[in-house]
Amino acid sequence: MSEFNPNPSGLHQILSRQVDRRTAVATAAGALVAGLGLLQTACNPLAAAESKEKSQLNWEAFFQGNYRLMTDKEKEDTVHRLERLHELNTGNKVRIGSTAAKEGVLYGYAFNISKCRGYMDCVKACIGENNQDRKSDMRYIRIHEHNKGQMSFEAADDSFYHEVPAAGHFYIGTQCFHCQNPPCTQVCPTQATWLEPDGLVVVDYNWCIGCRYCIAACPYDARRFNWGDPQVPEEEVNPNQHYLGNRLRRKGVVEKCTFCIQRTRDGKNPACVEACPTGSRTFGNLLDPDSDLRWILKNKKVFRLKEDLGTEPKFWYYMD
Amino acid sequence: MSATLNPITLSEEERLQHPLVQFFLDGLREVTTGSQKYHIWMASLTLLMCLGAYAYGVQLRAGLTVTGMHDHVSWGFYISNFTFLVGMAAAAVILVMPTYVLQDHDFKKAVLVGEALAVAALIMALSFVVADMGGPDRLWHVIPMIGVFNWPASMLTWDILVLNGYLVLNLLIPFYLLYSRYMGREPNKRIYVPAVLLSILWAVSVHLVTAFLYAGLPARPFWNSALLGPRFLATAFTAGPAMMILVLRQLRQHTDIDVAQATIDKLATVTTVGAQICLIMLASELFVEFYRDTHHGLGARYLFFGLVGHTRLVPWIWTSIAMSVTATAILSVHPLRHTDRWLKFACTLLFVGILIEKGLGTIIPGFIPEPWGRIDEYAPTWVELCVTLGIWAMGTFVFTILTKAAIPVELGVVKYRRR
Amino acid sequence: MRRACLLVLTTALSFSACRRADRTHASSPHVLETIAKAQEPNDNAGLSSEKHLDGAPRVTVTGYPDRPAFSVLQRTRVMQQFPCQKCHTKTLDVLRAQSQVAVAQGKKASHWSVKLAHAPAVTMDCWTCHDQRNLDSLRTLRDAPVSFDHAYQVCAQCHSRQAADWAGGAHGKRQGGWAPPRVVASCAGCHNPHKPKLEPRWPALAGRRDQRFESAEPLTESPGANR
Repeated sequence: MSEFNPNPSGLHQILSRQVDRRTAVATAAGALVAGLGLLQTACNPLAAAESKEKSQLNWEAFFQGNYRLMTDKEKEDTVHRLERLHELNTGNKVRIGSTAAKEGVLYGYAFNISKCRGYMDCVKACIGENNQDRKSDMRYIRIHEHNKGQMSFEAADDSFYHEVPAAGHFYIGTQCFHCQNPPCTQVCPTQATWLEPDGLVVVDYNWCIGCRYCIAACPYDARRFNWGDPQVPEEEVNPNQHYLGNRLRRKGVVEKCTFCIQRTRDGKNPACVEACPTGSRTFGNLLDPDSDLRWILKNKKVFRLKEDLGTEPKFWYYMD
Repeated sequence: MSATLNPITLSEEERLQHPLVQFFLDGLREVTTGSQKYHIWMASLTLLMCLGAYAYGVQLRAGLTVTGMHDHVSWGFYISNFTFLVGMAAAAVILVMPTYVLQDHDFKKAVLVGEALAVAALIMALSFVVADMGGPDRLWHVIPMIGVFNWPASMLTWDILVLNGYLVLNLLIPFYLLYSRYMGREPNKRIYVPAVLLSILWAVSVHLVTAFLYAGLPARPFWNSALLGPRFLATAFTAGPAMMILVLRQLRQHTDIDVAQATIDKLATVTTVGAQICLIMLASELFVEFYRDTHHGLGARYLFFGLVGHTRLVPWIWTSIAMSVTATAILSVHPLRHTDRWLKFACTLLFVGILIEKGLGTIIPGFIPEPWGRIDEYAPTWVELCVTLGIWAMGTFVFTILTKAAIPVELGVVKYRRR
Repeated sequence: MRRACLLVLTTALSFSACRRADRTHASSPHVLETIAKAQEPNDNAGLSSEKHLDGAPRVTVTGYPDRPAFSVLQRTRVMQQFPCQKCHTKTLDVLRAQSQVAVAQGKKASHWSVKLAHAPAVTMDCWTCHDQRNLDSLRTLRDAPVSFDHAYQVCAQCHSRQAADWAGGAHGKRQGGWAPPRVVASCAGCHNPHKPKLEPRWPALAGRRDQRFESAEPLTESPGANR
C-alpha cells in the first residue's frame, strides 16, 4: 500500500498483510482445487451418488472371499452386487445365477468323430453364449482337421478355412474335458478353481490371481487367459449368466468351458451341443442309466484322449 | 573415572539413539555417502529402475497382453528369470556351509557377501513373480487365514513358503551377526549355528521345490523328468559360485574387504565340479530325448533343432552350450583356473551360458509344442525386457546397499559408540 | 530350543486351521467305477426338458422296447406339402390322369422338382417309400402303411444300424435339453429323404491362424457359408 493509514479497517488489515510468494501460490492452488471440486459436485449430484454406490460396490467386491466357501446368503449378495455393478456401468440388466450343483447328477459328454464335418458352428455358438473376448478371438473349442490314417494331433491343423469336410480328412473337437481328477485344480495356489459335485470344473473369476499355473498343468489346452481387458459388444452380451459361468470377466483371470453351467444346471444342453447341425455332440447325466450318454458308453466303442495321464476326463470320443 | 577415555566428543547432531535404531541410521549413512563412482552407479541403477517401473505401469494398465505371452506359451521371460534367480539364491549356501559348519575361516570374510547376494536374488525372484501376475492386487488371496492357501496340494504354495522363509533366514542371520559385531559382542553360537544349519537345508529345498513346480506336470513332457530337480541344483551351484567369484573380485578391488585367495580358489573348485556335473546331466538329457524319436521328445527337438521350420531358440541353446563347454574346459585346467584373467573369463562365460540355458532353454520349450501339437513361438516384448532390466537393477541396488553397509560393520570400522 | 518347538507347533496348527475348500464330490476320481455303480433309476434332480421344448408337438416312438419311452418331433405338423388336400382339391386318380397327359405333351410331371438321389435305380424309386394308392402315407417293403409321423420305420428298414444308434442316442439331434423327456428329431428333420447326403459347406468361422493377434480383425464369413 502506497498510503499510510493509521487506523486501518478489518478488511484493510487483512488485505495489507504481508504474504510471501510461496504461501500465496499454495493458498491460490488450494482454493482452485476446492472450488473445482465444489463445482463438479454441484453440477451433477446424481452422478456423485451413482459413482459413490459404484465405489462402494467395487470396494465390497474387492474384499469378497472365495465363492466356494460362501454361505448361500453371501452368494446371493455377491451375484446381486455384480448385477448392480453391470447396470451402473452399462445401463443394462443381466441376471447372474448362483444355481448350485444338484444331487444325483454327474455331467458327461460324447463326441462322434464320424459325424463332425468341421463346420465350427459349435465354436461360434460358444463364443456368443459365453461372452468371450472378441478382441483376442478367444475360443474354448478347437476343431482339429486330421489326416486320414493319423490320430496324431501334431499332424492335424486347427487353422483351416476351406469347404468342409475336405477329402482325406476327419475332424475332432477339443475343449475342457472336466476331468474327475483334474491337474488344474490341484495346482491352483488359492483354490480359485475346483471340481463341483456335479462334475463341472469351475473358476471363481473374482478369486483368481492370474498366476496361470493351471494353464501349465492342463494337458488338453482347455484353459484361456484374459491377457487384455475382454471386450464384448454390449448388444451381443448374453444376459443369462451364472457366477461360475459366462458372466463378464476382467483382465488377468483364467476362464474356460464350463459345459455352459448357466444352461445345463437348468436342464438345457450346452450351446455347442445345441448348435451342432450334424448331431455329433451328446451331453447328459452319467448317473442316469437311461441317458443317451450311458447308452453311447455302453454300446459304442468309446475312448478318451490322453487317458494314460490319469486325469479321468468326462469327455468321450467314438465313431459310428 | 580416569579409565573413561572417550576421545570422541558428541555434538548435538551426533547424539546416539537406541542401539537398534542407531544401527540402521549408521547403515543409512554408509549407504548414502560414497565416492563419485558410487553415486553414479546408484543413479544409473535408479534410472533403470524407473524405466522398469514405467514399463510395469504400462503393463498394469493394459494387461499382460503387452507381453509376448499367449495362451500357448503362458509363462515367459518373467518366470524364466525367476527360475534362474531362485538358483542364485540357493547358491549362497556354498559360502555359508563351509564357514559355519566346517569352520573354514577362509570363507568367513566372504560369507556376508554371499548372504547379500542371496537376499538380492530372492527379492528379484519374488519381484518377477509379482510382475508376472495377472491380478497383483489379489495376491492377498494366497495368505493363509485371510485367503485360501492350497497347501500341500499346490507346489506354488510350497514355493511361497520356502522362498519367503529363506529370505527371512538370510536377513536374520547376517543381521544378528552384524549387529553383534556392531555392538562389539561375540555372536552366540547356540543361536546362529542352528539357524545356519537350517538355512543350508532350506537352500537345497528352495531350488528343489521350484523344480518340482515344473517337474510335477505330466502335461509338459519336457519338464516331467526326474532329472529336472538335480539339474536345477547343479546349474544353481555352478552359476551361483561363478557369480560370487566375479563379485568378490570386484569388491576386493573397490572396497577394503579382505577376501583371501584361498576363498576364491575354493569357490573356483566348486564351480568347476558343478560345471562338469552340469555337462554330464546335459549329456543324459540329450541321450534320453533323442535316442528314440517320440512325442515326449518334441519339446527338446524344438529347442535343439527346431520343429517344422520354427527355430527361434536353436541359436540360443547352442551358444549357451558352447559357452558352458568352453568354460568348463578352461576351469578344468588347474593352471588356468588359478590365473585371474582366465578365471574371470570362464566364470563370465559360464554364468551367461547358464543364464541363457535356464532362462530361455528351460521354461519356453516346456510349452512348445502346446498340448495338441501346435507350435506357437514366443519372443519377449519391450515391456518384458524393460521390467526385467528394472528388476535386475533393483536387485543390484539392493546388493550394493547391503554390502556397502555390511562391509564397514564387518571390518569393525562402524561400531556402536557408547557415550 | 523350547521356543523353536513352540513356533513349529503353532505354525503347523495354524495350517490345519486354514480355511480350506477341499473336494466335496462324492464320487471317486475313477469315472468308469462311478458309472458302473450308478444303475438305479435317476430322477435327474427333478430337472426337465419340457420347458425348453416350447410345447413342440411330438409322437411316441414305437419299435424300440429296449429303450425307455421317447418321442420324435411330429413331422406332419411342419411338412410343407402335407397333406395333399392342402393344395389339391381333385382326387389322386384324376391328378394322375392329368399328369400323364401333360408328360405325353412334353410338359413336366407333377412334383417334377423332386429328384431322387438316394440309392441306385435298381434299388429304389418313388414307390419304394411312398404308397401309390395313398400319397398321404408311406409304406414298408412289404406294403404295410406307415404314417409320415413314424417315417423312421421306413428308413430303419435299410438303415437299421443308424436307426439303432438313433434310438440309443448316438445318432441324430436331441431336442429341448439333456434331461427327460427325451425328444429327438426325426430322420427327415435333418436328412432330405430324396437327397439325404449332406453337402459340403464353409465353416462358420476361420480357424485361428496365430495365438497372438496384433490387430482386432473382425470375424468374417465366406460368401459360401449358409449360416
